[in-house]
Amino acid sequence: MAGKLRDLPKGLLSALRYQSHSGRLIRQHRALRRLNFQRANVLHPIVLVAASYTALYLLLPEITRAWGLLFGFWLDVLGRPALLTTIPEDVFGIFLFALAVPETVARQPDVAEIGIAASLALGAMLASYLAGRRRWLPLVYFVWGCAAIQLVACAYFYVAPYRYPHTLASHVADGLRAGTSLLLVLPLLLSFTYYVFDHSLPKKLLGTIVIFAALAICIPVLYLAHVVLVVGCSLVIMPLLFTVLGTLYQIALFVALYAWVVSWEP
Amino acid sequence: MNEARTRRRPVAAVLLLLAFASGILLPLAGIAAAWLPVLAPRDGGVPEAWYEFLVGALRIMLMTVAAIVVVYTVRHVVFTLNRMFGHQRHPYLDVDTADWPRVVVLIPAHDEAAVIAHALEALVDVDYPRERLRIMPIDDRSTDGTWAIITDYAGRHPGLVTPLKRTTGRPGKAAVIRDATESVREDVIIVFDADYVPGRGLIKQLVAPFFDAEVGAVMGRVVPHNTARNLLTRLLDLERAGGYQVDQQARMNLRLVPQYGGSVGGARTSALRAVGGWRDDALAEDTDLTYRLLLHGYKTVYENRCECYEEVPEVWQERNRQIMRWAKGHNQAALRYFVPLLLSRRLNLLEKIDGLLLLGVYVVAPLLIMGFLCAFALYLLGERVLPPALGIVLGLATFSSLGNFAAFFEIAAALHIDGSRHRIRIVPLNFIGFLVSLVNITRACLSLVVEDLLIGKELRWEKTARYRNGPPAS
Repeated sequence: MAGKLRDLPKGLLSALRYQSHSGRLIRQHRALRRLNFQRANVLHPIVLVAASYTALYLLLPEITRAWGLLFGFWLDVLGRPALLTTIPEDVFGIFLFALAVPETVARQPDVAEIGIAASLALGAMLASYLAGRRRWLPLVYFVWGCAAIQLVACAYFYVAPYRYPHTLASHVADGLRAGTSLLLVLPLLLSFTYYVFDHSLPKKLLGTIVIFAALAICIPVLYLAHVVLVVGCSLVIMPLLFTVLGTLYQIALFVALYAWVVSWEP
Repeated sequence: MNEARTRRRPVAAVLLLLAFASGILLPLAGIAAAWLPVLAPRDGGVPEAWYEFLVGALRIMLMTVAAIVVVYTVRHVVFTLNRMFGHQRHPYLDVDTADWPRVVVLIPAHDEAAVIAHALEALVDVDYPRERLRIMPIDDRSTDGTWAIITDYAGRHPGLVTPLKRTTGRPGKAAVIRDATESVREDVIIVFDADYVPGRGLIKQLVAPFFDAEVGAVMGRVVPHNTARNLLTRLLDLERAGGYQVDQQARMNLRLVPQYGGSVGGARTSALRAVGGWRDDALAEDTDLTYRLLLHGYKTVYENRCECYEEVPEVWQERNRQIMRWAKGHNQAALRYFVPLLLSRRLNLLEKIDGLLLLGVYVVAPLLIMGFLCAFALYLLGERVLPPALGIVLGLATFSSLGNFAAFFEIAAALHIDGSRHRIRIVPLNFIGFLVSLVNITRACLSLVVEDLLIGKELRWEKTARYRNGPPAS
């Protein structure tokens, strides 16, 4: 009997085990299901991580150069032309690129602007509490968190504006640096959160391209929006932008893109 | 007798309060030092050394929080990969024909008229030898017709449904099942909340692990049935999927510490009595029992195939109360069992590590708030918050590690295995639930320290609201 079993084609018994009377696949209950560990589960991460880092090595200088062009173009269009300073970056001596940062000067807020910002923060707190505390509780928490940050910023700029240690250029440079860091961390992160799924290699490659492309476009646009907002509203809103619409926003964007590509049919 | 109070622990309370206060006050001092002249050496305020100390302390706090969050993220990664590709342990799944032990099913109920009939209807129809099964709905001072529904079922199923009515004694689920357990003679106690609807084979599946003498408790998978009601229910469905399909099953696979969750589960009566029975001064009697059994050498088994359907909260206020109750109860257990777990000689290193991390899940929320305040203070002081790459890693880890939440990739894996991949698209909205949990878990931590440990305030067990229209027509 043992000899007979050895003669059976490889995989036949396991295939028969999941074959229904009509010849279709019997699906396992979700409680018992797991993904089959195959060579692809090791090869896909290796191939895609290697490809991603190679692409980043080659393209990151071009991507950041394009960010500079984008800043230059849109700031001109928006009527706020600015000199672009180039900051060379070196990550582990491997990834060499330059961040082009607009040298736009943002003004300190005057007392009226501080008052308006504080009033808006307090008004938002009150309005969100009155209107949304039942149905929109998370929104209330979010608004209250933002308002608290804004009120601290108002107090800061009212009492000691001269001590605010950041400029608009340093804010943008830090944000772009965080953005490139995200791009550089992503291949490793995706290796164990996405590439291990049973999607085909072309789908994973497409998903990776989608994530990188979207982030590469959104990151400079985000900081362009910061520049426009800070120039329009003064430095008083920069702490809020840094805290809520900076790195956290980039990460939330990544999670949204990740969720979308993972939801694709394998 | 009617009062349930946490035992006051003034020393522990003061120490925790100091830790809590320094964790909040230090970053607030940093934020104030950024702009208040009196706190700034540059403006002739406090000495330079104070400023140096403050910045150093903020950095250390931030790095500590980052390290803790990364540890929890690594845990989520290990669990997720194990659930996706590891050997799946379902050791009792094939037990179908046996000399089944005597079982009592306890259903604590307080004003559950809207839901309890569904649970009873399903339970009287389960596939389990009738002479070995007893269903005991326990009405705890209901005023909404729950008792009438229960007695109706008892009348129609004499001997099978044996109700109990409580009119005195401590309120709350733990006290109810403690009282009911006193009269239990059966070998196994299974507990269902009144809103749970079990399938026909569920009791056998839940009882099968008790043929193994090492098993002290068993837990099944909870699946929400009102998922499509609104965003909150959808988010809770994601959370449950990650928590059960991945977290609990991975713990089972890795022989770590699966958690008894208080419903869709049960305990061996002898084991329960050996460890002192249900504690009615515990807000999370389930976590409490898990750790007492563990410390006495019993195992808790998770049965992923034992699915039962529950109603999750449909309004945020209800969710807040639920998460605060869980957080408070869980942290109560953490205070009780942290040191015994650390010193236990029965447990191996991995069980200890997992047990300690599980005990600490609801401490992560206040730590994150402290970490956020530190980062904001350092930003205002013009000190480097974190290197950008580390900031990104920390941010991602933060998104992955909060309290009861599963990590975003863990939820994606759970839904992929569940075969409901379209739901993965709402994973980013989990940020909303994250925010609400962050605030309310922190509130619960503070409340536990101040109200319970310091003052010894009476424990209140909040009843979860129900949303069904009423009992089905009989």
